Amino acid sequence: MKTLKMLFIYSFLLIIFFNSCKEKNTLEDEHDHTEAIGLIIYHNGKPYFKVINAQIDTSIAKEFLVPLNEDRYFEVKFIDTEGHEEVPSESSKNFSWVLDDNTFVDARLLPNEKFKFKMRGLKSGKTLIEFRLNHFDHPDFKTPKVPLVVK
Amino acid sequence: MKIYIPLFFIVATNLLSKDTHFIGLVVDQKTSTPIHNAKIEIFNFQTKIYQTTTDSSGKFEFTFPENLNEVFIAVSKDSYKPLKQKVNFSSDSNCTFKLEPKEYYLQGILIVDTKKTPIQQLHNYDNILEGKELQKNISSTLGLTLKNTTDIFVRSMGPATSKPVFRGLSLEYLGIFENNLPVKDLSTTAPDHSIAVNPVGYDKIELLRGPKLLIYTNNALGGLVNLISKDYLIEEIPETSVNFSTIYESAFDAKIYNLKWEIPVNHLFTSGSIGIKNSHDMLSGKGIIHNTYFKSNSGNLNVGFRNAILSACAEGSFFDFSYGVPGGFVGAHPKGVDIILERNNINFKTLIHLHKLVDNVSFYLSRSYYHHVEIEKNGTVGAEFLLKNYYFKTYLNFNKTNILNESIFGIAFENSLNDYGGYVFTPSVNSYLLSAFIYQNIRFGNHFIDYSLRYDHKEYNPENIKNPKQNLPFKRIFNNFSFSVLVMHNLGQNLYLGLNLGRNERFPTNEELYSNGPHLAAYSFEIGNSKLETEVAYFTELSQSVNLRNVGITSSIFWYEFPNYLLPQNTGRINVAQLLPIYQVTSIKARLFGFSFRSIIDITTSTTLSIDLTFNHGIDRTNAKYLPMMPPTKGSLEINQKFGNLDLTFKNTFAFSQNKLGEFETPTPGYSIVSASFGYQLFLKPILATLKINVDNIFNSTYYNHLSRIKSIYPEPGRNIRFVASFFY
Repeated sequence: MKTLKMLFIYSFLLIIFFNSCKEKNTLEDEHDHTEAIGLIIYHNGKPYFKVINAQIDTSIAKEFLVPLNEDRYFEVKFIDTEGHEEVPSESSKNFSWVLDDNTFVDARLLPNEKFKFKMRGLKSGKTLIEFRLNHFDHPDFKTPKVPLVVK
Repeated sequence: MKIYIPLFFIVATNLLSKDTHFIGLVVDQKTSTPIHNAKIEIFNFQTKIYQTTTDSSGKFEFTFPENLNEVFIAVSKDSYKPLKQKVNFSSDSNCTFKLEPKEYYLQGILIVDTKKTPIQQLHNYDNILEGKELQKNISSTLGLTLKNTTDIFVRSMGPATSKPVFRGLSLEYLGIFENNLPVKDLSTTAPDHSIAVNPVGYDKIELLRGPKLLIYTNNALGGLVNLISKDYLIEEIPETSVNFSTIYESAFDAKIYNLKWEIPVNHLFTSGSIGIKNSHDMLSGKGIIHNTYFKSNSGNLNVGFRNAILSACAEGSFFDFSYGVPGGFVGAHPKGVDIILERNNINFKTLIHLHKLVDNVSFYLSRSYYHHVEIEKNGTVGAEFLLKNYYFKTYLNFNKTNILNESIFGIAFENSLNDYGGYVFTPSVNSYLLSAFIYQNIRFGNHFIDYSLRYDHKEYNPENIKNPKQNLPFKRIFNNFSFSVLVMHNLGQNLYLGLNLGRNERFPTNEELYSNGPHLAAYSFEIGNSKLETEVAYFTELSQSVNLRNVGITSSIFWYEFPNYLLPQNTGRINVAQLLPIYQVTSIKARLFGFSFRSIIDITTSTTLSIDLTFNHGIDRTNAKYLPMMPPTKGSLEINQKFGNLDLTFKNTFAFSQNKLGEFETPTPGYSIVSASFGYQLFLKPILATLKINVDNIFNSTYYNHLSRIKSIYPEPGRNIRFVASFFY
């Protein structure tokens, strides 16, 4: 009888012990992360196209121009809530785009680069493009669809 | 001060009431379990001079005049043989009445369905799933188990996340309890968060409503789902028993196993259970829905002690659950997400019998640990949640008097730590809750009055965060006061009317106050509001219950008025990162009303027809719109036929289309589906087996649940064959 009582008590204490060992006390969150409200695309070190607060900055360009049959190289930076431009450093971040019509341009990231890319116009005309800053596979930031012109 | 006045009232009425001179106890002849709500009629020869019912500990009391020495006491309760016994007061001041069950009651397996009296149906408003009804409905999750219950609807984002909701109210208005203690999880905070319980293995599932709710939770107008095993504080374990049950569901290819045991050792006992659940992706009427699997392991161990004065038990339990949430629709993770959660509990319960002014005192202490992580398809952590909770409550149960059938006073204290990780930007919050409550049931002739009062003091202490994006978190304190009154009147024979009135105050949740960006991208970018005030509701419900010879009918009409209803509202600003409108939780005026109807007709002694219908309507009065997530009118028609040990049921479940839509919602067509179940009992000494085959949606119809977040791409399960087998030793 006494053995049985001790067995019950030990079983109970074991349950408490094993459960306590694997418990977490606090969690880590992504405090230092890039939160973008806009982006600016550079070509040859000069501002080429800018979107901020979901609006195109027409003082730089009204549309995103890609030359026909010519490679053009770009670098993108993102603008945070304080107006600073930065290239995201988190490994989880990546840059991408969505074209309404893929037949107008050939666009690709440069080898071993996440935020540098090139585009080449394939045929004259106009389509729409959306630029994105992704956290792995879903967008943390995206521009509205903006005009892309090939000429 | 508010607390002292009712407490004084309780003490004064008990002291001024006459002392009772005869105490009776009603127990089950086989198990010695006290029988609650047994009907007691006392006759002086042929004249009935008194009538009452037993309390939760099976007792009743009677005051008799000096010249009365001898009476006949008739004791009756559904599923027991009635008993009439002569009692001589000069020699017996107390007596135990042992009722013989009409048929066997075995742990987990009720052979006989109990029918409730009208006063039981109205008194607690409760609806109980147990025995054969539970076996007919039991499924992999709590939401799927309760979906056919009157006034209950299911919100989901895939089968693992299915959650019951009461009428059109939000998730906070249907509490989930296990054996009278709250389940601490995060199921109400997001559509992809599951309830952290395994419904398989419980003896019954209660849906409680009415004034008594306030002694459990700060919610007077909704309901409470209480998953119940045996209450070891008051129920004995007469002998060692083992129960094994298994369930298979074809729509999920789900296999569920559950083993329970009870072992008494003199005044000690031990009991426990182990449960395993494993399923694959769900098969709907339109094909397989990817990433809807679920798996769980669960178990518990109890040790306890019981004698005439003291009962105590300690329990440790765990629940590990992993499941998938599908993607590919607006508001979802693009490729879906895998969620892993764990919940561990340690509970201590004690009941002390005093048998004085206070009949008994009970204490409950619970410590919960909940951790939940969401993993993106590339293996990284998208969101993480942690909840640690300490909960204490105590009840003082007063003795019955002439007019006070039941009096309960209690207090509760709770401390919670919520922490968030990954890409969730709600700050950590440490919160405290102190509650005090009373409940009384008063009898005046043909009238019964239930009333309850509750006071809550809640404090939220969020951590300070740098550069809050939208909503600065700061400390909040809420002092809430809720009450509920139910008056029941017997209009003669078996017709009862009940009117329930009250006011409910609900303090905002962590997420409603402090969320600072979306955890899950939705149609809108939702943020909290640290300045929110308490949500207030005035409610009224008129119910009736009539039991004619072969027909029982219950119905109710309800009206909920919210001068301050918390709902995300469009701020007019756009989140320029996600290009989504920013919604912030604010208060609006809202109204919900509707009715429910249920009838059970005994066509023959072995054939029963059941009909039920539920209607709800919700209005945003501030913006002249419909409230979101309002369930459609639904109902069912069921016929049950018994052939000896064989039980057959055919059921038609239907819902009308829902075109009264909130923002971002789309219309949902109505549906009608047919289901059947076949049950059989087999006694192979010493094992009792019950076998049940349920075929849901026999014709594999394609239908949609308006409250499902994935209805835009996937319908509800197609034909689902559920095989339930239980073996009791």
